Amino acid sequence: MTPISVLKFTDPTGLYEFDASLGGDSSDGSVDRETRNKRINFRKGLQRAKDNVAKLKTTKGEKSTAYQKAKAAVDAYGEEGDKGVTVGVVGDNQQKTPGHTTGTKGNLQVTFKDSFLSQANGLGENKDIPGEMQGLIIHEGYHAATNAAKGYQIEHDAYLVQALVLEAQNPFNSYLDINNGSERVYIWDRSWNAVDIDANRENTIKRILEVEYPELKPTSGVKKR
Amino acid sequence: MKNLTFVCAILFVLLTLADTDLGQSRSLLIDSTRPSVFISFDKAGLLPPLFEGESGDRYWLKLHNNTAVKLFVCKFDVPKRYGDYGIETEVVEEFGRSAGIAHPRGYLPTDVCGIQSIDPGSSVSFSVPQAQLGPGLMIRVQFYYAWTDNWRKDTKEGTWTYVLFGNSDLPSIERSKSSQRP
Repeated sequence: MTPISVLKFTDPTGLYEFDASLGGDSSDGSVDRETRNKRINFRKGLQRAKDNVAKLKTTKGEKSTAYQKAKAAVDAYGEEGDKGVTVGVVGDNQQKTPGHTTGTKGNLQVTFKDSFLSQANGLGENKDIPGEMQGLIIHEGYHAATNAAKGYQIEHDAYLVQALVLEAQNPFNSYLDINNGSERVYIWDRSWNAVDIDANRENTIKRILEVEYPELKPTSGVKKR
Repeated sequence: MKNLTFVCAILFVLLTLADTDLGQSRSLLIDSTRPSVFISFDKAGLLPPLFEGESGDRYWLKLHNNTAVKLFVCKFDVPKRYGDYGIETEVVEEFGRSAGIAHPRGYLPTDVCGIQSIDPGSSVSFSVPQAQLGPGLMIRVQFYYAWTDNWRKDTKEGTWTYVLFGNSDLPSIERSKSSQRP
């Protein structure tokens, strides 16, 4: 693996805050129950992601690319309560993807679909809500860490950190439905043999990108700024 | 006579108000003869394909903000020779026309949007593969005005608006070339 510089990622000690859709800086006691539950879901999901990133430090190594990227993704959120990345919720019909990261360096907003953050529809095969939510939370965290830049490799790595925290939580399977819901791919499958994990994960990510982001694949020889 | 004076006074007030409204509308536009937001053709040319599956034939376009307020679009970084930025596009069929064949989807929005502002009266240059503007096709570019203060609502009831540019908007020579392409 190629070592990476953490300097590539900004706001490594950034702090997130809830936007108005999640009650802003009001205390939990001042917001309605529904909003409070969404806040709690997010906090638990982020905490689970942080716990699993800490495991990666041991399993993959502190200097590994995998750990550094995952750490940058959770660090982009930082701790709750101060200005930095804002976290919000939007109606399901107001955002195409379950999670979305928007903005520019220093002014980033991560939003989740209401059904995701409220867990009204439930997710996946497991009833462990934070366990299910952590994947998307860290995925969008990676986009925040890379300043909402768009690109094939960035999207690849966002899925990579998503898969890595799920792997760290083993045993736990997690899938995504792609191709307008016609195809299910496992981003982490506990039945994978240890020697095949990297290759299987990579195949899954490549398949997701191939189906969902075909326009993002760069040609060789054209360097992005 | 009193009634006539009263009617004239009412008419005067209404006409004054109407003129004020019109004046305010006009003042929102920097060039009152152009649309508030529009795309213009710049040039055609050849560069190595930016993404897999593209050809090297490209059109360079300009997205103009002809209003007195800032606009925002989703951008991605590209080498300068491809334009100031890459701009997200969605390829759709032109009204009343059919491409008749499979066509590219465009530089579609994903789960990430790097916001780029466009100042009042300014424009940004971007380029797209010529296939995105083949016969019967147009691109639409999402943007929002600064006054909406809402950059996350990108579908349905959201506050995004679109600006369109189609094959019909190309110079006739380019339109003619595009119709001869396989």
